[in-house]
Amino acid sequence: MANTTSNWKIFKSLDYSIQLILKQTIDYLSGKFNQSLQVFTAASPFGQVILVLENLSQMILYYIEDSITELSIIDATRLSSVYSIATIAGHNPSRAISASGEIGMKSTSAARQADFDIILIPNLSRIKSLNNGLQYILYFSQDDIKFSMKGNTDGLSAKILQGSIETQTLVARGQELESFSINSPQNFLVDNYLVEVYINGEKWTRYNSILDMPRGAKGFLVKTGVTSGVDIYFGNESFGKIPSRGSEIRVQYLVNNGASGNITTDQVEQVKFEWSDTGFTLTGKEVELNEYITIKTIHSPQFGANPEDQNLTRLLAPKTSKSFALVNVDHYESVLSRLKLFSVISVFLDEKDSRLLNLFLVPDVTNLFNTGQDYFNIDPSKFKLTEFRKNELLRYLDKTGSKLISTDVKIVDPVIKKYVINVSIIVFDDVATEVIKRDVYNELGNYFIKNKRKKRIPKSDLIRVLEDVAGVDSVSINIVSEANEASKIADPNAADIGLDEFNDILIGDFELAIIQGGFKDRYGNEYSQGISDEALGSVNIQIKNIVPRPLSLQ
Amino acid sequence: MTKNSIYRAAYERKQQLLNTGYDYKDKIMKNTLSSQMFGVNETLDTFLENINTVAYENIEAVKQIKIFANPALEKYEKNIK
Repeated sequence: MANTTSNWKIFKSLDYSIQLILKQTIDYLSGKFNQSLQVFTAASPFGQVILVLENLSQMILYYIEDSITELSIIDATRLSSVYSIATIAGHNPSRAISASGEIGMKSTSAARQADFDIILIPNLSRIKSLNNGLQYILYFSQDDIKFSMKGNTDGLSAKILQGSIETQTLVARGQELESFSINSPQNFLVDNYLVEVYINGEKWTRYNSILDMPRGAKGFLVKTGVTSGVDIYFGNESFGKIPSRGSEIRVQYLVNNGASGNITTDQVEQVKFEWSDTGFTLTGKEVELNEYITIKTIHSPQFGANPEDQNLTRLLAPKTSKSFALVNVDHYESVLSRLKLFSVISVFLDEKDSRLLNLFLVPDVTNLFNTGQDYFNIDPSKFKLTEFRKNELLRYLDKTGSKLISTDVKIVDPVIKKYVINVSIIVFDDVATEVIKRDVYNELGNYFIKNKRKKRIPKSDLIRVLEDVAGVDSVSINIVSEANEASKIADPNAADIGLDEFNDILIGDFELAIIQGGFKDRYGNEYSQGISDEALGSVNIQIKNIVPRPLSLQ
Repeated sequence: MTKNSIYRAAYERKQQLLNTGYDYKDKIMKNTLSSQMFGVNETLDTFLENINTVAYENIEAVKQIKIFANPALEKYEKNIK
């Protein structure tokens, strides 16, 4: 009996591989048929079958591993898997958000001589940016606007959105919970908000959830497609109306370029547009708009955001509000992270009034720098949101979900705290000191650009960063705080402010620490803004000594 | 619905599934082995048919993992790509 079972035992050890099974099979067959291993190759029928099965088995094991891996949102590698798991979790991955701004229109001198009084400018007319070459559309709440050639309507303003309008037409089957996939070549660049549906020419209302749709209401849902574009869903009569069989469904959506549509500048007069579309006179004659109307930018396009990437989806999916309501801190952080516009997002309840939510936001300034060194020359106002951006942000929050009636939101500006770094270094003689200084500026700049620490910036972090600069042997750092120096000038015995006994930077509530001069210390040294070789600036490097590199380090 | 439910036929009666993927059911061995192996003798053909069935079932078994984990599909659904 024992002999029989051992003959039929397939696995002889706990650790097995396909190659081992293959070797055992070949050994068994060559023994059984009394064939030499040299004769038993893929050229013989049995040899070929075994090799094919070996490869197939490896593929099957790969498929098993793949199907298990793609079930976990953390391990999944394919975007479609991450999106589908997130969708099951109730999270609708955010598509690209169009940059929005405002323009004003003014009639030209040629308009006075025109042989007509009014130009009709249709809604969704296209204009082109002369700064980035992208298309923008005018977005009115009516079908068209009438622009006077006599200057009566000069200064008329309009909202603009980056992107171009696309339309697809479908035919309803008249079934319950009918769904349609709107595939666009631009994929997830279909705007997150501007998707409109017309059934037989009548505009239907967009809802966030099927449960929000009243009985028989003419409504639809829009969800980000798992593989591409968007999916449109209609109701089942109890929740929302079913489009009748054969109705024409026209889906109109904006395809935008995400964050590329933002034009970041303080000088709006430099943001220029020209008309791409024509207008019409009241008699229907086509008119070249560039000839009669000039465009003046009032607010440059802002708040464009790219589609959510895999990593952000993984992070946001568990935090999503299932009720499409903005209630707790997580919900606000989730919708604000989608914009990818802020380097620091902190949402907290107001200490004095628990109905008020404070949004502490620091704009992401990383795109403004070419090198780390540029950080020290930045205008501190770039770390604060302008009034226009604040208003746009509040409008974005209104679009995203329903706020609780009893709560209000306040955007809190960061309080800028200035610090200066004095660096003393001993360097090796095999690297030029100019190169070392440039690297020190860049490394420090990059550290602060990417800094995510909210409470403390340890001096040891900065020393570690500078230790890695090529040619640096030893580093000593001293951090000087503007607030601390002002306090020490007033009272030399006053306690430290903004720094602790480790000389670490301490960051209080609503504070943002930046490395920038523009103040005097208690010894009368004046630190200027930016970096300069002649005077003290934001970062000051002293080469204490130049020593030969020891043989052991070469 | 159970796996061998008598209602299954009625349920699937009007199904018109599109894009169901490549039908490899009887073609795994034919596409992977030398064409010289087929039609030579009956014993080898029968043997290869049996091997094909085993390989097909092994590949299909992987689909079962995907079907079980997908809440939108019925447990005994078979028609996924």
